[in-house]
Amino acid sequence: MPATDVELVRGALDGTESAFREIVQRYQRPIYGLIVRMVRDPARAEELAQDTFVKAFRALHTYDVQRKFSAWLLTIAHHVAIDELRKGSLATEPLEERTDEGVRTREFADTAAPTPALVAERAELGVVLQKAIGRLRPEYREVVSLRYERELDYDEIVEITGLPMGTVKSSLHRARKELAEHLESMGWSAKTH
Amino acid sequence: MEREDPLDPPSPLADEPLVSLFKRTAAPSPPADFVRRTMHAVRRAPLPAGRKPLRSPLASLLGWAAVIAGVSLSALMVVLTHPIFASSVAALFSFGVGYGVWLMQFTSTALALLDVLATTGLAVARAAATREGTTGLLVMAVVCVLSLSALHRLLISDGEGSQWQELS
Repeated sequence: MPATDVELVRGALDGTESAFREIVQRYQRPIYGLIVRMVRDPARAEELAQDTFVKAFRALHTYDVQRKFSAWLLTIAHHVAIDELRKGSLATEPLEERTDEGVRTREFADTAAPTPALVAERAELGVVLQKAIGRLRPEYREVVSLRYERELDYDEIVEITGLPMGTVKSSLHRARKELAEHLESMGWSAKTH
Repeated sequence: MEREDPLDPPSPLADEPLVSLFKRTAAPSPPADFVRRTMHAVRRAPLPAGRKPLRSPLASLLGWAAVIAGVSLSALMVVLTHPIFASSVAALFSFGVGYGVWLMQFTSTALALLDVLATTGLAVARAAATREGTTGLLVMAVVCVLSLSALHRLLISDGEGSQWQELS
């Protein structure tokens, strides 16, 4: 039976290296995923994700076990990424060339059996979605990632970002709208089944 | 439930379908050596006062091995400095060496005997596989039985002592 987050935190505080290694293994994808969505630079995102884990380890004794560990860790990642964006060293909205083909529109198929055509379509959809998210403002990219990639509820997003509930909701609403427009402009129908 | 801004037109992308849309695409993942490099950085990070640094399982194992070796060596030194203990240890050592040599000889003899038996058994089995061989083995068996029977009669005959008994 895998150890719980709290058990791993206690182990790491006791000096057990394997416990913190397990934490890094468990959360590397969510942390890196959130940061890379925000900063849009894979190499820098990797450094910032690493920085997040170092900061988390240094502050591990301050972690309140009543809180959800993933939310605590994502809060650190949020601050690390926000600090980086505030430095202005990264281009926050390097818009890709728009592919306003107009005539070619495809809808998002939702078939269970992954045929070769569907696999290829998913790969293409991943690229398109990545581009569409990249066109959003950094704060929208973050809430979209937290809500739709990490599948967090609004309360958790509020806890992580420190934004008011109303702001989170309106950001998500506007992000969805913009996302639909961007997908539409890249030839993908925003209609989902 | 999320309330949408009444000034904005409703979004054509709904909440739940977006979740399934993201599920169908590959989420970005860090490079393969991310954990190793992160752990390297974590180990080098300065810690606040009172915090225990991380220790690797290998270092811990080596530490325990060093402690056990040190304690054993110290105990041995203490024991060897006393004459009674020293003679006991020497006797134990010589007994151990002697028993070890005997055990090795016994094992090698047993193995050699097993080899002889195995070779003989194989030869008999091969001989029994042919008609001539079977006949030969049967003749040998009959001769053997007859010889044993004659020897038995010679040694234990009714009414008179055997030559062996007379000799003894």
